[in-house]
Amino acid sequence: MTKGRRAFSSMGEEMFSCTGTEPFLSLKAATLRLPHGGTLGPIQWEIGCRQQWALVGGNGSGKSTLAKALCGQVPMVSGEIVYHFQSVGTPPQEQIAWVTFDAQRSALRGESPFYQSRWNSGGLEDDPLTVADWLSERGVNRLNPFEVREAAFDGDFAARQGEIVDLLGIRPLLGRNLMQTSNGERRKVMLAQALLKQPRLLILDNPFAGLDRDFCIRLQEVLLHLMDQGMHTLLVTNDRESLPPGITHALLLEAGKVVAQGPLDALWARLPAAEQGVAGLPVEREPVPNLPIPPHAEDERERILVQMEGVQVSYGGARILQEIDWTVERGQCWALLGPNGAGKTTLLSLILGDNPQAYANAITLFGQRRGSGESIWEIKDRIGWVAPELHLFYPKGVSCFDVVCSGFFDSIGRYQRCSPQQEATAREWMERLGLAVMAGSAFDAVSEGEQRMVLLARALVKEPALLVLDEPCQGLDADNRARVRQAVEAIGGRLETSMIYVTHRLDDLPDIITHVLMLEEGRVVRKTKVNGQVRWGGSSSLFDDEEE
Amino acid sequence: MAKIDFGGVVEEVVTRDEFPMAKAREVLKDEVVAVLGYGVQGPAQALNMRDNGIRVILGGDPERKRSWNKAMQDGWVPGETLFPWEEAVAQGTIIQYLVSDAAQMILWPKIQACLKEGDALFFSHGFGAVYHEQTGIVPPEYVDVILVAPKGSGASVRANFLAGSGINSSFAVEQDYTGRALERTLALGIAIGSGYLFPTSFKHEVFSDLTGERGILMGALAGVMEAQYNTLRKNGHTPSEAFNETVEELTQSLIRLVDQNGMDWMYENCSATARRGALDWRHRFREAVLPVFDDLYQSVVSGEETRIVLEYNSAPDYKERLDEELREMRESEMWRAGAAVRSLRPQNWGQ
Repeated sequence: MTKGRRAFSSMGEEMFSCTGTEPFLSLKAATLRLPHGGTLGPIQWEIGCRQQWALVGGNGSGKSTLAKALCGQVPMVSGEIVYHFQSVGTPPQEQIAWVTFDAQRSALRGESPFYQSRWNSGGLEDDPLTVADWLSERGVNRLNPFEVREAAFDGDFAARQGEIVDLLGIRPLLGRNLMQTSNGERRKVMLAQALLKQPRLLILDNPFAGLDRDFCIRLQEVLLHLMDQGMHTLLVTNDRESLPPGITHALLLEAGKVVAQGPLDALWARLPAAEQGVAGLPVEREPVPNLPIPPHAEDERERILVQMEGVQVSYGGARILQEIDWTVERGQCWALLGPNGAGKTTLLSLILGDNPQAYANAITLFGQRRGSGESIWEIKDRIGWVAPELHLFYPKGVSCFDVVCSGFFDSIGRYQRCSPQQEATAREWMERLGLAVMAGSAFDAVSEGEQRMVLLARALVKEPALLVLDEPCQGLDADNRARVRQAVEAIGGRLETSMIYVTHRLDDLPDIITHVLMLEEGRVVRKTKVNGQVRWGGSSSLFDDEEE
Repeated sequence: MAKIDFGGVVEEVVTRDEFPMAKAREVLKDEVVAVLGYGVQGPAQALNMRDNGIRVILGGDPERKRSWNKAMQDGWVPGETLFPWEEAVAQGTIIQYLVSDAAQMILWPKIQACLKEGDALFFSHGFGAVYHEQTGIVPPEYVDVILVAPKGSGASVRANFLAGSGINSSFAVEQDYTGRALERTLALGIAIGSGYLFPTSFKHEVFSDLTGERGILMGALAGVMEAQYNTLRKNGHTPSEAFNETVEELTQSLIRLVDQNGMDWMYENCSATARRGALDWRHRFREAVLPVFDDLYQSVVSGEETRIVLEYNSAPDYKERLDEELREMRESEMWRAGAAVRSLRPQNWGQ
C-alpha cells in the first residue's frame, strides 16, 4: 500500500483528535427508539481513542439502528451519546460518514422511478448527475447551492479526489450516470463519497456485501491504511468470522440487547464456538423445518429454458454485453460469476423480460423466441426472482405478507387479489423461512436482511421452473444464509427445477450447482461444467474442473 | 360496463375484469400496430404493447437521429420493427398517431396517402381530428377513428405497467367503419396498460383537456399564485415568507390532504381561523374567476386556442421564444425564491 500511504498523506495527524486517555465517543445508558416500536438498550459503551470497533449482530438485532443513532438520526428515550472529539464549527454528527444501502436508496430514488429504468431509454434522460458529480466537492459535502458563503473551499480536494478514485479503482465510472452503474459499482461510489468527507468516524454497514473479491481485498487494504492514519472505523456486520484486519474491539448485539463487548481476543475466548449463532450465542429461533416440496408435475414442457446466440447489449456506444452464447437446460443450476460491472444483472434482465433490447437479439425463453408474440408476464410467470435492489422499489407501507403474495403476479407492489390457496401457500413459505412473525409488519420497516428473506419467499411461492437468484444472501447473517441455502437446495434438488445463482461469495453457492458462467467486461470468459462444490482454485484460476 | 355513481350522476366504466388481457390479445391477434412517434406517449405505449405480446412496429424519420437512436436503444430493429413513416403505415393495420399536435398536421398528407381500407387510426389526444378545419386532418371514411388517452405521462404509463399495476384512461370511437372499432379501442386500451377505461368523445376529451391545462392545472395555478405572492411582497413580506405561504405550504402539506380525503378533510385539519376565512373567501374567488373560465371554455370550443397554438408552435423561432418565456418564469424572484426554499426542506437533510 505504498500508493495509499502517499494518497492519504494530506489527511495527517489531526484525524485522531483524541489523546490516549480520553475516549473518542461514549454512550451512557443510551436507550433508543426502534423504527417499528420497542426500544434498544440501555447501552453502556465507550469507543476509546484509537480503538477500531465492529458492531456484530444478526439480521434485525438492532445493529444498524445503533449505528444510525451515532449519526444523530434515531430518537433517544433516555441516556446520552457523548462525542469527545473536537468539532471545528461542525456538529460532531456531521463528522461521521455512514455507508449503507439506505444511502443508496435515497440516491436511487432521486434518479429512477422504477426498477427497470436502467434498461429503458426514457429512464436515463432526465437526470444529468454523473458519478463525477456525486464525488465533486459539492456532492460530497452536500452543499446547498443557494447558500451564500465565503470561498472556503478545500484546496486539496481535487488531489484527494483523484487519489481516492484511483485507490478504489473507479476512474472508469466517473463519466457515467449513477443509474448506469451496477449495484456493486454504486456501492463503490458511495464508499468513495464517504472517504472524501474525511470523517472522524467512518461507519461501514456491511461494506463487503455485493462487492467482488478483488475489490474486497483492495477495500481491506484501504481501510487498514486509514485506521493506521488515524481514522476511527465502526464496522457493522453480521459475520463475526470475517472481520477485516485492524478491528480491535467488538460489541455483540442480539435481539436489541448488548450481549458482550470488549477487545476481540478476550471476547472470543469468553464465547462459545461461532457456529451456534451470529454473535456466538445459541440461537433461540426454531430450527429450519424440512421443506416438503412436491415434485413438479410431469409435463411436456421444453427441455431448453434459455438460449442466447451472439447476444449484444449496448447503451450510447458503451457495450455492456458482447457475443454471449448461452444455453440453460432444464435441471441445470448455473452459478453466474464475475466482477462488479461485468454485466451479470443486465444478462439476467434479458431473461426476466425487463430489458427491451431482448427484442433485438436472438433469445429463446421456454421454447419461444423473444418478439414472437409472447408477453413478458408469461415469461415472468415461469421465473422466481430476487435481486439486491428490488426492495428499494416497493411502495411504502406494503406488508411483508403482501410482498410475498405479489410473487404470484410478478408485480412490485400488490395490485391483485390472491386466492385463499395462494394466501395459504404464501403463509407456508413465510413459516418455512422463519418469517411468520413479520407477516403483518410494513416491509419498509423491517431490517434489510429481513427484507431480503421476504423477497426470497416472494420468489419461491410459485415454485417456478426457473429460479433467478441475484445475490440472494447479500446482507444476511449466518442463520439466514443457512435457511436460504436449505430452501434453495431443497427446491433445486428436484430434477425439474433450474437455477441461475449470482454471488461474489463462493461459500454461499449451494451444492447443487452444475455449471458456471463467468463474465468479464461483458464477455463470457468461462463456461464450465462442475462437479460438487465450486471453489477458488489457485491464485489466478477459479476452477480445477475441465471446461465444457 | 360497470355503473359507478359519481356524486349522484351514474356513469359507465370499463374494467380489466370485463376486458382482460387475454381478450385484448385475442382481438388484436391478427393486427399489426404501427406506432408513429417516439417522444412521450409513443415509447411507453409501444413498449407496453410489445411486452404484452402484441405485434408492434414503429414509424419514424431515420434522419431525426435522436428519436431513431432512442428507438434502437429500446430494441427496435430498422427494417424489422422500425420503419420510415410511410412504410410503417403501409404495414400496419392499426395506426397509432402519437406525434405532437403540430407534427400531426405537418405529416398528415403523407400518412393519409398510406391508409388502407379497414385500418384503425388511433389517437391519444383528439386535438388534430377535432380541429380538422385548422389541422386538415380529416380521416377517410374507410377507416375506424378511435382514441385512448392515458391520464398520465408516458413515464407513468411505462413505470406502472412494469410494476404490475396500470393507469386509467379515457376512450372514444369517432368513426366505426369495420364494426370492430369499439373492441379494437378497448383491446388497445388494455394492451397499452390501462386499468379502468372511462368513455368520452373526441370533442369532450379535447375541450376538457385544453380547459384543464389552461385553467386550474397550469394557467390559473401559476397566475393565482403569482398574484398572491405579489400582494405579500408589495406589503413588505420577505420572498421566503411570501413563497412559503403561497406555494410551499400547499405543495408540501395541504394538497396532500386534499389528495387523501377531499377538500373538506383538508379544511377540517386546519385551524378554526384558517377554516372560517377560507369558507368565506372560497365563494368570492369562485364568483370572481367564473367569467374567466367561461371565456376560456369558449375560446377552446371556438378554435381560437387552437389557432394560437398552431401559429406559435409552427413559427421558425418557436423553440427560442418558448425558452425565453420559461426562462422569464424561472428567473423571476418568486421561483428563484422557490428553488432556495426547496433546498432547505428538512426532509432533505439526509439526502
